[in-house]
Amino acid sequence: MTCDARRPCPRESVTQHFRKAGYGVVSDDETVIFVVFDGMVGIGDRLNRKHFDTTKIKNGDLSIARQRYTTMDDMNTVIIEPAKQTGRVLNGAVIAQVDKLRSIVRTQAPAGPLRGVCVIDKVQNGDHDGHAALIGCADQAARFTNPQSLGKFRGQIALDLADKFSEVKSLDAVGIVASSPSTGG
Amino acid sequence: MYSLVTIPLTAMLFSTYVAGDTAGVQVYHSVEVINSYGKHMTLELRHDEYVSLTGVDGRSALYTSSEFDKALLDVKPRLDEVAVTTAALAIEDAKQLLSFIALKYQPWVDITEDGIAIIQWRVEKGGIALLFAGDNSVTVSERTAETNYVDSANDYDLSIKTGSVISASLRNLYS
Repeated sequence: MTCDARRPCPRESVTQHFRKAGYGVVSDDETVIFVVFDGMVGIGDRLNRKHFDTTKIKNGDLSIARQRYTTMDDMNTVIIEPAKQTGRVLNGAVIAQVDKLRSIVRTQAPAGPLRGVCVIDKVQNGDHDGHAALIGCADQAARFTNPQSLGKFRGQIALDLADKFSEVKSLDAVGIVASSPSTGG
Repeated sequence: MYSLVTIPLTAMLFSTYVAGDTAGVQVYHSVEVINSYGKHMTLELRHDEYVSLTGVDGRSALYTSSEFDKALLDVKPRLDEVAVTTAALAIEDAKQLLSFIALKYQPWVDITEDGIAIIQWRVEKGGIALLFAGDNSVTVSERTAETNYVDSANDYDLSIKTGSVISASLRNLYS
């Protein structure tokens, strides 16, 4: 199975929720929220490449929240308070349309168009049901002849992600819902 | 010894100054000239083999080089052994090419978790990114309203000619 521009990444087509329940796969018309803790940027600033750790993306560990399924209670309980307890400083949050993230594609790749990142409904035990993640396509490594080219590709993806997300906003301004709809399980 | 350089016959000497060796920055001589198009340019004469014409701030290239060392310190705890080696080579390549670019606009400098060195110029309408992996080449990526960095990438060698190509792209980006 490959993940190219002509169809969803395999992991985008099947729920990645640990209970195989939750809100289902992430659709193109959703908005996702990325909470920023680095202590360096302020409201109105744009993020840069450094905010999108290429190793985390490779491993599917770059956490985002699905706007329509994330309440302020979820934010505080599962994301902000645990981060503050480890000494991290909350700056605000940025948002992006999922279809824009999925539009990061190398069209001229030798074996056909290659997607940059997949947006998956990755929910592990302890996450809230609106949790999601960015992950590199599983077959990216196989599409490059050397690690240098793969490394550059990952760097370019991170540069594009920094431009796809909005400027930094306060948490009140990113459209977090008052209450989330019930899940299937 | 300073490198041998050729100044266009139509250029005329405007002023000269000598920068000191401060904070570990390489000593160099700088000559400000007006070229045949009436533009002020700075000719750098350094203690190594690199000679470059830069823009209004002749020290920009050296400043940016030192930014790489800071960026590496920042990311190093997250790099594996292979990435550390890649980063060291990539930074050398980046510093070499920087000598050939007219650095009127201060770029943002970064090392990725894969050890890739990045130099990026970014404005609202787009951006230019140079990516180095320590293989004696540079990948030049541009973002416009229509294209992403991943989809606009060309590989070049680390030559004065490449520096000129990038300098021209920068002038377009900031025009």
